Amino acid sequence: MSVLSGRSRTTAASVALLLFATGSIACSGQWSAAKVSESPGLRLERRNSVSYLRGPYNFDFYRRHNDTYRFGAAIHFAHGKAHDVPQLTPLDRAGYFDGQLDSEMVHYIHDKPRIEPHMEYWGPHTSQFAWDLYRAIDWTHMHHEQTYDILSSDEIPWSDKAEWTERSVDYYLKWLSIPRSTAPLDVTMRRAGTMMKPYFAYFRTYYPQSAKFFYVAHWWHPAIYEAQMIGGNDKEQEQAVKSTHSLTYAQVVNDRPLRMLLSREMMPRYSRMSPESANIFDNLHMLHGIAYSILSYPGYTEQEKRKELYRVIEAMKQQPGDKELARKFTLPKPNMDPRVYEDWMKSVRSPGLGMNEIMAEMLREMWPQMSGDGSVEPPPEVWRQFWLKVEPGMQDGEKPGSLHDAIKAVHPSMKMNKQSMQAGKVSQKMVKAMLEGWQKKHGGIAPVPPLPMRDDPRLLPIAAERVTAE
Amino acid sequence: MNNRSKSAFLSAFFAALLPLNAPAVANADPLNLERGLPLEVEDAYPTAFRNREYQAFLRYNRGKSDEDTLDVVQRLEAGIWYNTEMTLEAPFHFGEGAPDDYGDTPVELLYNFNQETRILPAASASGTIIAPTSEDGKGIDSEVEFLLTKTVPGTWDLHRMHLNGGYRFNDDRRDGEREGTYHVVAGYQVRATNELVLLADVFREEKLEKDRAVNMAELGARYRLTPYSLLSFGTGVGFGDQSPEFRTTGGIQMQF
Repeated sequence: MSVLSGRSRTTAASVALLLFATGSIACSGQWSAAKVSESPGLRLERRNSVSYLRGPYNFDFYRRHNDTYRFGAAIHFAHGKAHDVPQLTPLDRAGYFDGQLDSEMVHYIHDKPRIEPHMEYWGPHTSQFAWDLYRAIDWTHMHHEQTYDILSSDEIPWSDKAEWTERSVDYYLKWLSIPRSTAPLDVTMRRAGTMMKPYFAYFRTYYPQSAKFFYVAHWWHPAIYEAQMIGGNDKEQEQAVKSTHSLTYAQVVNDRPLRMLLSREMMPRYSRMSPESANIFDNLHMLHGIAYSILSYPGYTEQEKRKELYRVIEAMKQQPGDKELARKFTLPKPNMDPRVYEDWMKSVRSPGLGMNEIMAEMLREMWPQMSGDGSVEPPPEVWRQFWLKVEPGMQDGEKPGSLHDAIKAVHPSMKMNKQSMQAGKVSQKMVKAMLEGWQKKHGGIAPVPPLPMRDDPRLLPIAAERVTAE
Repeated sequence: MNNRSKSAFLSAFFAALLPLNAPAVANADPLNLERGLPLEVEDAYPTAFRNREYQAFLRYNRGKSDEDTLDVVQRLEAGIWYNTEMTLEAPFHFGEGAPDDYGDTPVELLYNFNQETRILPAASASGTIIAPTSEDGKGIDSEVEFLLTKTVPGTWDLHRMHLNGGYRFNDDRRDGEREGTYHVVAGYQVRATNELVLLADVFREEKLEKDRAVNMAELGARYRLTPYSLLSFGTGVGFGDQSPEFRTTGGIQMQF
């Protein structure tokens, strides 16, 4: 016997549907209920995926530079897969799997996928315990696509490119709770405080070929933006992009950079046009590197890895005041030509304040609190280990393990707060010392000037551009 | 409104909502399974918030007595809030055994509770109101469904299992009809290439007519054609006395 009549059941179902919808809106806010339980494997997270910003430029990069777009898709395949490989590989087999992963990634850039995949597609294991890592990455890849599309669109006049990019940045910052920061990497790296963590530099030490593959990827992304910037809206954009992209195969993959290149180095014009967007990309690229090291580290459980990943994601996300810092960096080569693969792009050391120089500054800022002998400057043997460790692979004379392990091996009296080595923890004292150090050194520098965007640029011959760069 | 005007009205309605020349903007997701595209199984993940998608499929059915029928189904799907998806469907039926007709119109709201973990599957619930827009439609039926999705952990490959179970309340029952019907679907999905996903499912679905139920086993594939469109193709065979001989489905999804 039915308790409710047909009509009453329909009414009840309608009310339930309404409550269901209301409830979902009330409780599915991405900022709430991020973690319901901390029990391993039982912790619940919201999926909270968001779609793309609509605009007249959508998919113009795919249409206008399809071969280049597909190279980007191959890079995103590599990023997805590079999460699960170190996570599922015991460290003593890293050497073999590094070679295998690198071969597969190189294969994919020659036999390119047609469409960009999301991280979950090629890294399904990590998605099951660190979903927010993929949310942060995929969302920023969406920003990559948007900004390539804006520069590719001939419907958007050159003089409006900055405005449309700003609209895309605003959307990026608004709809996801964990967007990467618009502050320079110098600031966010100090906030994250990862340098003395037990996993730091694991990926570049034990997966050197793969790490260098990603340095190629992080050369390629800004180089393509910069090619669009020197090409302008007209047909010269095709020439500049094609010429830059062809370098990838002719030179860069076979003679890979030894550091992660920054936006200010590889895309100075784009960085002047939209420093917010440029910094977002640096902060994403650094998150990739940190995440791979955390996943490679055998000393943390999955639960601990998630804690540490989420701490870093939080520290490097957009925070109040970050937008005001966006232009606080200098350009080592403001007139560089992305169509030329120069020696300074390959080296461990940058001609300006590159990735490794930023970390050297941070080491100097932390040292007074770490040194066992009261010294205020790291001794030469510490510097030697630092520069060996930041280069991918094990070098002659380099100590194994993390940067912390290497420094401790040559400077046994080094003091470290054991608690700050734990997953999800950081020494606030160290972070404060580093942020004060940055403020002292760089807080007062003149903001990098905006780029005049009134006229479509004229593409100069490669040699002429190069002379200007010198 | 007669059949012809109803069909014309609904076709115009969908055509107006589908700006074919509008830029497509979201990545067509081969993992996000939708019922009928191409199989019965659906995953527990909703489309992303702020996403919009047009979906359509054409299904040929061969009945037990060799009667041929064709279903043409169009849908609009939107991510209306975080983890919440709304779908409006317009089905048409042609062929032997029953007059050509526009079918009843379902409006579905699906809500996803969680991202899966190593142990727990992703879980969603959906509620559907089915408006009696067909010629012989009667009463506003409603349906509730629960959906689970779990990826096999510990592998580098993407293998996913799905389980769907739902109950439809028959609002205005005629003689010889059930008070309600249930359906259960178990599905499996595997990544074949960057663009191609393969699927299999098996399902049982009761029909409103008493003592009638359909059992089928299906195989299918979903292929990402462009960043904003996806093709799907599937075929299935019936088993059990009242099930159709077989059916074949071809579908398209386009984000706009």
